Amino acid sequence: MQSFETSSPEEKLFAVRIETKNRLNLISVRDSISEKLVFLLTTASAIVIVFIFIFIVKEAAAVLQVNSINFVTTSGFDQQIINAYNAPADKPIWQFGALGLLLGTLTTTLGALLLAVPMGMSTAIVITELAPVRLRYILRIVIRLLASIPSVIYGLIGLMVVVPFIQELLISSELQIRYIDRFQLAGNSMLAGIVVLSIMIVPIITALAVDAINAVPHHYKEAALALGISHWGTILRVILPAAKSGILAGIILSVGRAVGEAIALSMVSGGIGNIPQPGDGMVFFLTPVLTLASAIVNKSEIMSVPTIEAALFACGLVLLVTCVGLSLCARLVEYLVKRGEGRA
Amino acid sequence: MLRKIRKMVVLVLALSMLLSVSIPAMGADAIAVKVDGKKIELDVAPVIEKSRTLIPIRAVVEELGGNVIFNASTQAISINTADQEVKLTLNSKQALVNGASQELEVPAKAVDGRTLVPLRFVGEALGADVAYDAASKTVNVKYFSNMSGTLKIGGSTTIQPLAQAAADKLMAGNQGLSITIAGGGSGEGIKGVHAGTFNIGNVSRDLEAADNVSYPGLISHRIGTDGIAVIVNPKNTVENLTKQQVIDIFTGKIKNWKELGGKDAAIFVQTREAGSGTLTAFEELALLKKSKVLATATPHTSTGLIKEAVARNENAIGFISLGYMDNSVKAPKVEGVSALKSKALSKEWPYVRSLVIVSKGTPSGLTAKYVNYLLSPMGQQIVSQDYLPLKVVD
Repeated sequence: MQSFETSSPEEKLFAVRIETKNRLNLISVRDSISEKLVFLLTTASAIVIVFIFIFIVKEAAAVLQVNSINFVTTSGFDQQIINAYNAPADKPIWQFGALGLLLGTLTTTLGALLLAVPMGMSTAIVITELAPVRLRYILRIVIRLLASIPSVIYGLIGLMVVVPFIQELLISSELQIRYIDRFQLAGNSMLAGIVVLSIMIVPIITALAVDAINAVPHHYKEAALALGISHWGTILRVILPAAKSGILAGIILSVGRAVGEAIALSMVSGGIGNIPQPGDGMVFFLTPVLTLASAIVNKSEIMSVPTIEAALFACGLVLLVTCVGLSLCARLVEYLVKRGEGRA
Repeated sequence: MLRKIRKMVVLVLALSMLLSVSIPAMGADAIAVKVDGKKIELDVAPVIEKSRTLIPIRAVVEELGGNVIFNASTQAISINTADQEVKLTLNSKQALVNGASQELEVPAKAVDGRTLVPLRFVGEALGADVAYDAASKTVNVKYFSNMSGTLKIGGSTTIQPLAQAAADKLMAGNQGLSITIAGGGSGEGIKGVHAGTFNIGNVSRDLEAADNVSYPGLISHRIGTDGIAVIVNPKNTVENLTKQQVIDIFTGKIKNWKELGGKDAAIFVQTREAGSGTLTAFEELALLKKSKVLATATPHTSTGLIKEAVARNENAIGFISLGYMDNSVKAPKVEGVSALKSKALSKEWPYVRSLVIVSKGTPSGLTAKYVNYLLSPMGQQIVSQDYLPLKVVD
């Protein structure tokens, strides 16, 4: 106390300055520490992703070296796995072709998108714009709930409901006899896969579209209505375009889920990697198919055979590349749409 | 009020009667027998004679994986496990343990038509620790809970999972015990035991004459049976198949049920993913190792799923282990034989193979205990989870 009283005003001011400076220093140190911590965590998760990629490529290398591009341009994966399993240890079989699996993945995913995007979008529009307020609330809860149901439940429902329904409605006994040499028309099919997948991804698309539409500033809608545009016209021409990137994000997320879905599809899609032939007409959709993710799950029991392990990792790599490719496609679509509007 | 008092009196009387009955039952002669900590239910109370406990021995011996044969005409009692043989005669002090004569202090005797045998003598002759705990009036027999050392097992991949389950149970109950289980197939099991790499070989077939020539001196112990049933939908009208028809269906030569006397419909063959033990066994037994199931067959990852697929599709056909048969699917007769577990044990059913474990010579020590464990009720319970145990009910 004594010293404080004797000190001059200049000294006091100086002391305050130093204190402030120290405080500022402390804040900047604290900031830089948390900044570095965030940076560290970000790099860590990025490195994990890179490591996963390297690991998968390393494990798949043996099969990719032998087959190169043929791995995705030739078919017969199921039979090759059986041959590889039965091959003597000194003469391992390295020839694999996963074209059937790739096509199975692409057809089921794209088919599911064709069904689910319009359904999810219309549900989102109903929830945000058309339904009475109390109903909106209930619908949103239901959609959130649907999005969190585990996929094996969807698979079971598909197996018990969708597959028998397809068989009774679309497949006659004559058709079965006609195709028995090529594949079994028993309802387990690409179509069943598409239906189950689309039921699975509609809630994701809806939930994200609802958020995106709600995020559109309210004065956009008010301005459009004030200009005399009908409610429906406002939704189509003002609100949806403004919410576009959020909606697109939902679609990309759902593509990821559809491509990677294994359990549900392995239960309903047939479990055998046929290549659907467009020349078959309607039977194209009834072909039993196997997707990359389902193949990894179904065949994993015999991973102890090195050739099969490598082949399944190669499937995983194709799956990863497909995922990346599809989301790049979505980005491209977004870019093209924006450029069309002169915003990019 | 009066009624309440009367009720109380009745209650007290009833209670006192109950107690007076149970007190003598818990008295001096009620001795409990425990094997590895598990209480054994005895149908006749044990008797103590010259401080030796005599009990009806069958329940205890079976708990140790052995069996008891009583010959009424010669009054001979024969007790066998994988490694020991004990022969007793009623009211005789002479006993034979593995052929060597031994003197009993108290002979076996008949009480109320049941044969009672001195527990300590038989237990120790079979290699168990027998201890009497005076405080709890309990005879503790330790057999599968005093094991230590290492045991190497290998061979058939069919038996591998059940061997692993048995090993896990045994290791959980014995601190110093280590059991390793390897695969490699039945042939490797036989070879390994003969060479001494394995103490026990797992073999999913009976030993053949050729094995005895190349690898002499092996002894096999049957632990169960693997039987495979061909299954169809319950609505399917086909009741009988021949072995050749089964081959033709599963290799794709026969494609329509009408060729088998059924309706005009395509045959949907269901199979298992590669690596399934049931598929390997089916190709071995039904397709005679010569051919594979046709490529268009729908593969399933588990017994449950293939059964479900056949139960759901009227035109489907598949195969499962006989142990999994139930009413959701139907098993047609093959060569006129019904797919029953009893027919599999008697080997009338065509798709049957024995599950045996082999040892080099008569097993002893840990090896013998492992064999006895798989033959005991605990071991047979493990076998019955996937296959048919030695005793079955249809």
